[in-house]
Amino acid sequence: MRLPEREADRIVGTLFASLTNRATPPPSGTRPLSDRNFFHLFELATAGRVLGPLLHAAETGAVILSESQMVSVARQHRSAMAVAATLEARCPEVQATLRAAGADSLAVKGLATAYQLYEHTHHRQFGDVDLLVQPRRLEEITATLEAEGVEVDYPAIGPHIGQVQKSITALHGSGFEIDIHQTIAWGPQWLEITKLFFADAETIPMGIGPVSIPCATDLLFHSAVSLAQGQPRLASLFDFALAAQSARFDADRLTHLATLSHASGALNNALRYARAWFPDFDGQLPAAALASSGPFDVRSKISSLTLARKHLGMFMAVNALPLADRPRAVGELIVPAPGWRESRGRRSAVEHLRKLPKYVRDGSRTTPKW
Amino acid sequence: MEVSSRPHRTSLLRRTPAAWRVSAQSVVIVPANNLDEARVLEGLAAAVWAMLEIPARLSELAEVLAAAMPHESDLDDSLQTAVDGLVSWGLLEINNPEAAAAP
Repeated sequence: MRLPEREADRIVGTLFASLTNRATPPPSGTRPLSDRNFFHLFELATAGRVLGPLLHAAETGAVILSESQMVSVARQHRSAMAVAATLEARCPEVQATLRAAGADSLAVKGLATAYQLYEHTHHRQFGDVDLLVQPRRLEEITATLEAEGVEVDYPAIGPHIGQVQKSITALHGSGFEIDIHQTIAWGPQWLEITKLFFADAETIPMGIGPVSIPCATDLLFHSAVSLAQGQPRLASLFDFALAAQSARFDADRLTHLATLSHASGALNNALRYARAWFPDFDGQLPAAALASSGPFDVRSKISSLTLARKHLGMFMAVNALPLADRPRAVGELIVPAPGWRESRGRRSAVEHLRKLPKYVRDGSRTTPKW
Repeated sequence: MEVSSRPHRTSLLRRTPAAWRVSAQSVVIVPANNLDEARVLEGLAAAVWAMLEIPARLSELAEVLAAAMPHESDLDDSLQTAVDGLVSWGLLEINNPEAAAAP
């Protein structure tokens, strides 16, 4: 993740402050943002999916926009909200399809955080439906979805690796994308984390009907893990910072999640970037959740490494399988099953390995591009 | 039947569950009875939808809106136009127990 560099990047801190009612009002007579700054900020907010905070900051006067700039933001935000409302409306139907396949699911990421972490759902936009299912064979889910007429765009790489694969991607008939995750990251330890997410899930009323989502603590943890992976969105940093700042999390549970997944590095990483991007951020996490077992804590180092470099996590995940299945699973990672290759069309058969996180070095950390 | 001919004691409720979001002065709404169409409600129609989290009488809406928009001269007419529109789109339902009970 890169640190704030441009002048427009620094305005992002004001967006966060306005959401937490801490924005300092600009001095009277302040002129609207320059076209250059507005362009960068608008681009950042669109790609980072934080148009809601930008619109809120403009409406509350924390950021001054010209009339035409305001029109652009409002128009873009309205489009984003149309997508969000459509996805939310479709979610119960997709969950019912999965239930028919014997897979209960939790909505995670954008839809869940909009309800669980934000004061108003229109402050959080999202562009697809992310569902978490209990660890199982993703190949079976693929087959069921296809039988229901849902096109699976990125199926399980193979029947063996499908038991530990992070996710598959399906395309709903109305054109939106559904990411079905059985883990929130590649790696053997994340299978247990999924089970914990289900253990403390909450069912909340949404517009069309009730939807099951993880508790606030788990969403905070998930956002930190997302930030440690390739190319996170700015929205994930807002998710993390809002949850950490509001202290609406269970410290013991967060520590348990971090310990079990050896992901204290991801939490430290997220704190570092929240402080860099949001000067007003003063959230604290429990020391036990941030502490690794010491300088020779190999598991924590491996966990950080596999989060930043997906291909390593893919091979590490094989360790969660019975010994007899591991060679076949490794084989599938190298030469994916025919179903996967067919789904890729003319693309390379090794795309899943070549499609690595586009990180760049930033000190000792990885830096996804927003 | 048009709302404009109804007394202000008529109560209104959302006819369908819907996923919806506020965006500036508008509301984007995807009703359960038509998942393929996202509608954009503007102005008073957006305000009416947002206010009907729980059913309310037309007179109650008029009172709240009048307090929020003291300089709006044709508020009653505008409100009734907005409600008529929401009803015709299948988003609102009119519940008038008094009319139903009338001989």
